[in-house]
Amino acid sequence: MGLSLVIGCSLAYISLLFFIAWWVDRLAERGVSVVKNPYVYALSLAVYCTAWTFFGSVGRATTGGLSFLGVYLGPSLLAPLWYMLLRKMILISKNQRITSIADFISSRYGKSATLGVIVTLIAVLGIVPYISIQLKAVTFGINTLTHFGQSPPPPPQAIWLDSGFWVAVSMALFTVFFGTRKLDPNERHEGLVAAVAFESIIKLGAFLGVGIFVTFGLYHGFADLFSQAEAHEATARMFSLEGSGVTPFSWNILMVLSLFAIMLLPRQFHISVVENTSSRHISKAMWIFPLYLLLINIFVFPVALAGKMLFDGSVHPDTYVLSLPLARGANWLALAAFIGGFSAATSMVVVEATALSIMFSNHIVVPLLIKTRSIGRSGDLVSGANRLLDIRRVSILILLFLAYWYQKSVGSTYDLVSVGLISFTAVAQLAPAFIGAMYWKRATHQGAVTGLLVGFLVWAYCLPLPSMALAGIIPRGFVDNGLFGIGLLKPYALFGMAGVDPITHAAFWSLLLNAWLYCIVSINTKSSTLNLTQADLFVNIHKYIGGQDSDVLKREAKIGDLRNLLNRFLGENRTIALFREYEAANGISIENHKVAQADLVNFAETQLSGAIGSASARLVMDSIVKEETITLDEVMRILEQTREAVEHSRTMEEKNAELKALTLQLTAANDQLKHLDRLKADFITTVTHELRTPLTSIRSLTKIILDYRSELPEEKIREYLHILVSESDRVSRLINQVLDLEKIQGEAATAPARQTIELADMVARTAAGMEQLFREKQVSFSLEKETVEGFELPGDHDRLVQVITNLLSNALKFAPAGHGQVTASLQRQNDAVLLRIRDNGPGIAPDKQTLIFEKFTQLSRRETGKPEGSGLGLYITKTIVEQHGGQLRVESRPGEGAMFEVRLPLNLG
Amino acid sequence: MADDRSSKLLLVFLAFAVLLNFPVLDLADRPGAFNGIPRLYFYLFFVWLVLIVAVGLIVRKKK
Repeated sequence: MGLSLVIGCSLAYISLLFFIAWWVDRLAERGVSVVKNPYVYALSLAVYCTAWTFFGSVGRATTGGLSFLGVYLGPSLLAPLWYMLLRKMILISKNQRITSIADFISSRYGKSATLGVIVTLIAVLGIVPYISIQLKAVTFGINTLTHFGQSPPPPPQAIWLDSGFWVAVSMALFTVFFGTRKLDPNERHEGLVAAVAFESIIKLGAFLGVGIFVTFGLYHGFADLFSQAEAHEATARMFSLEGSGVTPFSWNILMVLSLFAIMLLPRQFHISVVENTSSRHISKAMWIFPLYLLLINIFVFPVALAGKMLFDGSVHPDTYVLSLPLARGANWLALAAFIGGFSAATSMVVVEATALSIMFSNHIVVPLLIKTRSIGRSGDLVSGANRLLDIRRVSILILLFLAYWYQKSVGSTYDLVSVGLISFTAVAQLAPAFIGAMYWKRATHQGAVTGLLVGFLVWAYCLPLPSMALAGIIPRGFVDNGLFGIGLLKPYALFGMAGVDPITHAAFWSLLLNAWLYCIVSINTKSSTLNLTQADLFVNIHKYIGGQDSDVLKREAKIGDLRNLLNRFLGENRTIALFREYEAANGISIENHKVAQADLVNFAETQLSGAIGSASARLVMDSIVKEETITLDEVMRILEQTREAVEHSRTMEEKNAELKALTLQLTAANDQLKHLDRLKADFITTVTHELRTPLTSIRSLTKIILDYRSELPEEKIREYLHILVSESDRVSRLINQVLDLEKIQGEAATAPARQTIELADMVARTAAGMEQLFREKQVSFSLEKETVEGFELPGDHDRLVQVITNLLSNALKFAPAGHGQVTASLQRQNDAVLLRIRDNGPGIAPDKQTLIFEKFTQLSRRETGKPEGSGLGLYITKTIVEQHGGQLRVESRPGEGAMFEVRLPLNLG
Repeated sequence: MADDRSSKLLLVFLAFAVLLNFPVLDLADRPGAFNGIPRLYFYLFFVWLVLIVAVGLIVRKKK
């Protein structure tokens, strides 16, 4: 078969794939999603079946019998658990915008950049052999088709003459075109998924075609083929695992490896989680995908048996799928089978390389550029969405070149499956950290790092390094004698475990040490706050679905900075669209704010995570964000303290107010007491003084009368006796008034007795009782009433009489003898009665007018001799008036007499 | 009920993990045939098919 025909068909097939991808993408832009379908999802998962399955399984079956099935039974066995496991992976990834397995693990352990790098390195280095077998299978296929039946072509002289090189180059270009056409923040590539699903149909169809051709064309069905094989010497032992040299240990390990691979292979994670359009598709995929695996494997064993019987070692078992049709002249079937195998290889390479390039750029290149400050700032060398895509394109090229190099230098001596299993073992190292991420909250960053590093080192020491040594790339001394000549460190018999195949051996030790250290270190280290919150988010993802992200770190950033950052990584249009989306969802306008609150910062970071991975997004965000780093404990404590303090200060304030009021009362009481004390002292001094004055004159006059009774004229004695009477009156009046005062003040608290008083009548009668006094002093008295009636008011009769008496005698006292005039007038004013008593005496100086109402204040009337009265009269009067709810005031000017006004309310309400 | 399904599927996983691994697998790894089909080959594919059917029945939408 001509080379041009093979290449022409391959190119035509690739063109068809491009068309499908382009068409699906165009439909997606119109809002029609072909991919949003459980069947497409299940078929795209079949990216698991690679050239390994298509060519390698047959080769494996010739040596290991049915052990090749372990690789497919593991995923089928895990499928029932997808219902919980895969759903959880998808929920977490959608919630956190996780775009790769490295992102998943780094995000869980506190968005750790270190873990991102470690996982990416494990994945890239681990997967290189796996990609190399795809290149090898395609090269093998082309050579088989073009050189069947001839001696193998001589090794090429130059690299550009090597078909393997051109396979690698075309695969790289194909991947670049497919996987890096646009930067989608969700890393969704609908066209790619559709193409992969289509390829799954092609490879299944092609393999079934070959299988049916072999089983029913070359033989008469299964029974015939099997019975012939059982009779054949070379194939008889292939029917049992034991006969094929497969130990129970290696079978169980193979099951475990494949079970992990279906979750952890970067391309499986990408297709099953990142490209997933709805978690509802899982249910159907749970039985369709295992069914697909079953179908594609049914004919592997028959084809292997037939090849072994027909060729008997003259043809490489990995090419039986092509050789058997070719040997029988079914060239078109062979070409179709090649296209099927080519499908399997291309879908694997495209998805795997795309997934790895995302990891490589997001977890190694971008963090490096951020750290060296050559990205994420204005005017920098590398920025913008296109730059990110360029980084990915370059990483794809590097990856394919590495794979080509590996195939040329190491892989050529091994069969496909052996090389592929090296990759499975590498990827399985992610299992402890990955499973712990979702189900073990206690797991720490340090535990994950230790477990991964140790597992990876053991893997590297036990699998790729010895194979490189055997290929002559590095010295092989350590393979034969152990590292540093220590026998227990032989890479194929670690700690003396000999007699086990290298894969089983390496997988056992690496996974054991990895898982063990992961647990031990996790238990003995403390989580950071971020690790703790992320752990809770991953383990209890159902709690967070639909709710807000709970971020204890309250972060702020300037809107402008945020916008620039997003512009740089996502492009201007996308940024504007995102901000609009946020505004619409939260009902706020970003334009009106200068500072972005934690909510918006988190939103932007999540969006950015989609483009550059969570650890990188965290790094870039840190450059513009002001963050208060506080531990969770501190947050709890602060909250607790604040609550207590608020409560405490509230009670304190209450107490304080009470105390203040109390102090005020006490101060007032104290003041009053002091005042009263002073008044009492004054009172006693005044009273004794007032008593002494008349007593002195009484005593001296009595003595004069006693001593000089016979010498004094009768008139003089009579005069003295008059004085004695008046002074005695004065003493008794003073005593009466003091008693009155005590009585009135004692009753101050109790309201005066309520009787109805006719005030006009009372004034008239009181004045009549004092008529004699007025006449003696020759002072005239008159009473004026504005109205005849209406002066009834409630009050205490005796006390009001005393008020009137006091005021009248006061007026009489100051009215000049001979031409004195005292006037009383009554007047209604609104709800009160006004009683005014006027005299035409000397008047009262303005500065004395308030003083006269105090106790014991007597106006010194030096011009008129010693004061009359006790000084208590007006004080008593004022007290009584106030007890009746009224007021007493004086109006006077020196030389113009005085007017006292009593204002009494008509009712007390 | 979702939880009910999860438990059933977990049981399926455990049951078939036993059936598809040693030592149970050793019982099938013996010479012999079933209708001309080798014993181990038949056993593995039959158990596989039962697993698929069991999962399919459990996740089937209930009317």
